[in-house]
Amino acid sequence: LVTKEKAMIFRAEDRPLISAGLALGIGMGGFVDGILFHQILQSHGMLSARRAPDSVVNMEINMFWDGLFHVFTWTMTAVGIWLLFRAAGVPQVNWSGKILFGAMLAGWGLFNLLEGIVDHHILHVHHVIERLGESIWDFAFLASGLILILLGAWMVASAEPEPNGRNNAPSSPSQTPLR
Amino acid sequence: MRITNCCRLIGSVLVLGLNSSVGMACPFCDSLRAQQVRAGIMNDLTLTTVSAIVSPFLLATGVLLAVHFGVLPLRMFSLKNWLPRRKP
Repeated sequence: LVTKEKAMIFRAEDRPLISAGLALGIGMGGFVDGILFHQILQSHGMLSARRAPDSVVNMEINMFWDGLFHVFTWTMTAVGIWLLFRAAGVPQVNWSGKILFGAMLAGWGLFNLLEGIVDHHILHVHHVIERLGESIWDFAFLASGLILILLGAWMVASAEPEPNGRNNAPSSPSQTPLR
Repeated sequence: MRITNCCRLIGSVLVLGLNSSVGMACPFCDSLRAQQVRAGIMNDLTLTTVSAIVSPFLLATGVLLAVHFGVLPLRMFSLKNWLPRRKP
């Protein structure tokens, strides 16, 4: 049975890996948006709803703000790596791939949801497909965020301590698995 | 601080590259286009754009801190909490 206390909060031994995964997911989710939509597909830029990229000057203005956006995604990813490194040094941490990847998915979804609400629907600085304006794609972006959060949270919640995890690692130094 | 020849070479290439790039397009240069770009960056939209960039990360960091310190009830997503429980 799951006690009420366990049901309401994350287990303490899961939290370091969850926060590392969340930070990595937020950062890498931001990179997906920036690299895929801003640069490869060029379906929008950071300020494309206000400054349509129809001249070199406007493209440079969008590129400048895209760069600032990438500063934050890079910083978030770096924070995630630091949190993961810290978690690796704590023997009590439940070292589970399911928890890490679930938290990364949830972080990606959290980024999509927050960025979608703030940038696409409140501030209207850009939309997913700029030439369509506010469209079904903006709502699909929000939906992708929700789905990723639910999927990630379900993965985290359903993770059990791994049989070969560090908590169950053999005590003999010669048998200790490499990390 | 010791400046090696390698640093000098990289610095020279950067200075040369910035000053000879087509139209001197970097927003910190002094060409006409750079001035237009600066004017497009620093105006009444600046605050909105900075908010648009920063606020999703700030909000996400808030959630991250809540999870890290154990106050967010996301464990309720566990299927175990929704399935009917057996009577003892």
